[in-house]
Amino acid sequence: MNALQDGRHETEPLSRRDALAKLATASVAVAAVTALMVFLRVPIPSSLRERTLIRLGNPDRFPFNTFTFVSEKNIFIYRTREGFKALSALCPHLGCVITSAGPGFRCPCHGSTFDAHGTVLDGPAPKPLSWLKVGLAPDGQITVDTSERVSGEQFLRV
Amino acid sequence: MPKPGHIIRQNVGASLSSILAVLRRVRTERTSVRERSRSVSKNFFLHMHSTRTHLYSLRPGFTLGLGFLSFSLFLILLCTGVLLMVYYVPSVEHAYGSVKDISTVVTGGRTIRNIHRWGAHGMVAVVVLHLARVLFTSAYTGTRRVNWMVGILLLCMTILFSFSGYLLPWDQLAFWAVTIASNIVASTRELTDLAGITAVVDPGGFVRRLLLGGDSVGQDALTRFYLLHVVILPITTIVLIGVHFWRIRKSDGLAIPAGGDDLVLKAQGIIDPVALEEAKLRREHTVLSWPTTLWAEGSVLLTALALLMLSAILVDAPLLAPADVSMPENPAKSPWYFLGVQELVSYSAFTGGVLVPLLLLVAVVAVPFVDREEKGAGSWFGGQQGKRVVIRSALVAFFLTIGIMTIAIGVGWQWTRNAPAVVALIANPGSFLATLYAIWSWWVLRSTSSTKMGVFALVSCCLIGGIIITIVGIWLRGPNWEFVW
Amino acid sequence: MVTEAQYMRWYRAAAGAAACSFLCLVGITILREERQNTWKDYQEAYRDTLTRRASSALQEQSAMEYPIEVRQISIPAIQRTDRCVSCHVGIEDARMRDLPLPYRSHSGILLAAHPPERFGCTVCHGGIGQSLDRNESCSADQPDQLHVPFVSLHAIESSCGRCHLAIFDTASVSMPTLLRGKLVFRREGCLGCHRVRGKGGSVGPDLTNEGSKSLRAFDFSRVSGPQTISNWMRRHFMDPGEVSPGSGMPGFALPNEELEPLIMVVRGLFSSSFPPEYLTLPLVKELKGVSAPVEGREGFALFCVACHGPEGRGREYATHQFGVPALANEDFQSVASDDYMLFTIIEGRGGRMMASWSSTVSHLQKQELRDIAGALRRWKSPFRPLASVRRAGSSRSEGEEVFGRTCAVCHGINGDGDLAKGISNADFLALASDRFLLETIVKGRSNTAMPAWGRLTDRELGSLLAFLRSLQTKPVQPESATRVQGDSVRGDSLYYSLCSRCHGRYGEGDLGPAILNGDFLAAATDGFLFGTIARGREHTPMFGWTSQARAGKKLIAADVNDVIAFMRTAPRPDFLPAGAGTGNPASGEKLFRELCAECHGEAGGGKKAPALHNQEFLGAATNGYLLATITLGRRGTPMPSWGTGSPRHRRLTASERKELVAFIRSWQTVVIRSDALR
Repeated sequence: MNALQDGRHETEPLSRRDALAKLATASVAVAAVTALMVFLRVPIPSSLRERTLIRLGNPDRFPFNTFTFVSEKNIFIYRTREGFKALSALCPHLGCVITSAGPGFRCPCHGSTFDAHGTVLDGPAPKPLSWLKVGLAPDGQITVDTSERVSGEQFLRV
Repeated sequence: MPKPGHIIRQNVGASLSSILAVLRRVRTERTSVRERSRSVSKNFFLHMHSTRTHLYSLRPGFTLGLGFLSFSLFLILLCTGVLLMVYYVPSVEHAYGSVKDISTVVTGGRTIRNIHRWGAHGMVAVVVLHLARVLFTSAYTGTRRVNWMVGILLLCMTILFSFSGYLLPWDQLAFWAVTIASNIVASTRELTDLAGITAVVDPGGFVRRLLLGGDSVGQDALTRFYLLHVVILPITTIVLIGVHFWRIRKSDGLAIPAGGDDLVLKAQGIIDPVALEEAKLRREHTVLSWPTTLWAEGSVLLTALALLMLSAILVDAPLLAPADVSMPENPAKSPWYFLGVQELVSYSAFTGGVLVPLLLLVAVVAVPFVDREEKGAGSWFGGQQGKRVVIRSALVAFFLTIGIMTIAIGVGWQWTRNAPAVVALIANPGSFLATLYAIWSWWVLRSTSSTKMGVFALVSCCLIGGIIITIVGIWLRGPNWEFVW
Repeated sequence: MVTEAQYMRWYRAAAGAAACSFLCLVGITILREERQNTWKDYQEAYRDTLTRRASSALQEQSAMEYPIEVRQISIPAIQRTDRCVSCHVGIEDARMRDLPLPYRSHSGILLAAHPPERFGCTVCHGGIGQSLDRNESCSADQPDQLHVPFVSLHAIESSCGRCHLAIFDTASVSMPTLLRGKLVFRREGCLGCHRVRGKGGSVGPDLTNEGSKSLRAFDFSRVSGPQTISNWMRRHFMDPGEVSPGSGMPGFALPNEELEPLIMVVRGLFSSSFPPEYLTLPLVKELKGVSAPVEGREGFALFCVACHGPEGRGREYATHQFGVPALANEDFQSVASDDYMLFTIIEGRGGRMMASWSSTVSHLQKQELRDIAGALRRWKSPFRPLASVRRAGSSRSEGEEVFGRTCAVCHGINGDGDLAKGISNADFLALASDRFLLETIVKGRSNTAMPAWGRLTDRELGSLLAFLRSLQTKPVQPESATRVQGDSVRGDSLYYSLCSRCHGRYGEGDLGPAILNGDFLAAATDGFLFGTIARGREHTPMFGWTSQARAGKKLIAADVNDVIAFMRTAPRPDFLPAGAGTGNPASGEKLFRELCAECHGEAGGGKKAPALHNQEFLGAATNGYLLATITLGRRGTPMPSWGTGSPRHRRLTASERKELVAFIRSWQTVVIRSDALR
């Protein structure tokens, strides 16, 4: 070992042993870093139980001119003769599920109230309710994309 | 050749006497100095202590025993926690039932659960007080800087512990508190939404997803919180506590004032300077850790145990109705140590939830880097000046906080909604208070020309301000988060 | 400064004191647990009782060995662990009937059919079974405060509903109060607005799980008296608008002996996550949605009477906040076609109280809905065959008088035609037999302006026929029942190119009458059709297609046969074409504002009368329906007869009525294709 360490000038090329030793150290370091990265990646959820593109079934199951609450997905579907709109039922303040109250909505956690267009009437909510994008699946089912927000005027025409 | 029976008797006798020798060693008056010091260095657990302890650091009024109190609480929580784990089931269908069974049928279960809960709340408070004590006695200077960081890490561990344990009973209180708190974590979205980059960069959302294992509080969240609470955090905390104690030893014990040695020896009647020096060399101002320090610490542990037992008898840990996703609590409140944050968040999610806590953390971590004054280290407030600064800062913070909160509550949320989002981000109680505290401590720093005083001023303001907004969050906010008086 | 020895003393004292107090506190805790474990006292007392009542030495021995321990019934199948038996020790021992609670054995005979090891206790009694403390499990003071309410004994039958209450099954349940309540529930038509287990209306909240709601789910801010669930329901039934502001539910003023069982039934509605072996078969079927179909009258009674009333009288718009049209109204029944009824039932009236009852919403099958629509016809005058009319005798002068007051308003004096076609036309009368005329008069033409005149007596009908015959100038062609053979595909293209211009794309009528009309085709023989097409109608735009050549197209007999074949087999569209009878909408608007807006609202939104500016209504109501309604009015309601006029309302001419219809029709923006017409 000492032969490696002493008697070697900086300008001398590395001997094979030195190079291999350095390579060994480097590969150990890389292996350690890789193991750490793998370790850290595992807890990050890859498959969410909640899918952002939600299928809601046959369009005909929704009655006209009312807000229908789809409880498992926390969405309100509003259907008129013109088409479909979808409203997110999560309060923009801290994410509680709003309930319908009169023509509009109310959040029971901190008392934010909204009208039927999602505008905030009262309470600590900082922004209005989100209208979500409604689409049509190839098999004819209504789909809602909870990750995509649209304006409140858009309809899906069916 | 001796007879076999004789050999056996001899061996048994020798074994007995070696066992009894251990017991004999307990009688401290009969042991010599050498034996006492050897027992500390040879014993695994006692080796955590240095062999000798400074008399000054044994004064109860000096440290208030807060550090060891935190550790005692941790030990008690560990033991009661393990007992609870025997019956608790971390599944959404069975969690509530198992906790209910612990409270009703398990022998002593109710008491154990109560001790665990009040111990947890107590630990959060005691750790904060310990931080305040270390800060106000300037015990973070010099070699103690690293230990200060480790201590901050331990504070974060404590809060994470309490937060992760809060969800486990899976009742209405737990479920909605964690829903609210996890949404506060995601409040970086307010800023990234303004910049329009949420789809690309969403740190708060990422952390929230990591914590919950998804986008909502469900079985995945319960599993992760349980994992945090019983495996990851205990291991990390125990390692950090070990480092914390080791650093104390490396810094030659607890911080004492500069003239601490002299104080002690003078009180013992040694005044002559030459005699003083000789006494210092002979270390007559220190005592052997065994048994004095151990008794001191033991009394703290037992006092903690007795107090927790008393609270367990007096008040039962709450268990509301089982968690019901369709029926939010009104008002839905996060655990009490987050309520100050929740109060600020109700005005601005980003400022209250991310900015102010982050700034607080940064400020607290930066304390030993800002204040490098060695003078006055080890004594409370570093003298009269410090005491004045702290009292004045406390008063200033008191009136400022109450004033700004009164205005904010009176104005309500109307104007933040009508104003553009950027304005709401900048002008809200959290940012106002932070700015005003900073200005005040800067002014103190300049007028006293002492970084230590600046630090004291800032931390006093933060403490008082934090207490006030936490009080508002706990008692002055009712259904619909309306102000109740 | 303190010395080491002093510190030792302090800390040893402190530690010793803490240790002692810890030991005391442990002792206090143990004592407290002992004292608070009242179940132990109960069990010890029970053991004494057992020992005293032992009738043999063996029994006495086992009584003395009665173990004092926590007793529980754990049933994983229904996820319950009930510890009630730790205190209620004598529950299964029939000898203990005379003991006070909690030692007493279970009253009644229910326990035999509901063994505790299979059902536990909380299934029927509610409360928190896991708790050992009385206040936490079945608190007598505030039973409804528990998150699973403890059911008080007078409402205990509601728990039976969990397994036994099938709403749609006509078989009776064996619990008397529940049975009574079920009959009241069905009779009052609650399902018209509320859905239970998938079937029912969508106007009010779904009641499927009403029984499992805890106290917190009810809003007591406007309820006085005891703050219990039963009381909330009581007050709500009596005045829903007071308890739930904004509710459209009418009040139900029922006597106590009906109200209490009804409350019991509502509290007995559970969606039951129990395994099916616990439930009765009708309930399993209901939860799975496969219960027997409801037949027409029963369906009407279950779903419609709450609003439309059991006699179909509806609710007057003038006096009620939400008016409901009278279905039993004679004029309505004669003007509205079967299509109109089914369309309205299936599509509802958007934005109004009449909800859609389509299968996907109400889970009623199409045949059930058809049956319900059919059941509405019980208020329509029945059809009379020609034989019975002949028997009643006739008189021409009477017929003229009947014609004048009934038919002339549309067909003109002497039948020369006004709003409707002239029936005095010679060619028409030559082809139209008495049978044809009678069928047309009594059945009407659905979806056109010709109502069904079944309200006329046999003698009046006979007299009408006599009068019409007296207008005849050409000899009558004998009626034959022979059917023509033709190529309907060819007939389709012929119809489309030649006939649809006047008779409408779907034969709904425009300039010419509606000829692809079910009632018309049922009444008209092939000979009638052949004769009309071939020879035409003199003095009308209908020319004879085989005799006169117009636009260079002259048909031969085979062509006419093809057209007739097509007419017989023509498919119906899945929407209702508006049909004939429109005019200038601008003039119609003026008329509307002057005459109709007072009741029907400025924009036709319906104030004291049904809403006309409603897409579903406009989809159901053809122009003929509108014309007939305006012309005849609705006798018995505030809708006047604008065709005849009255002291309070002037008479509208045919063109004025057509202009009104045109204006109303202009509100229609969508064509609703309905399942009702498929």
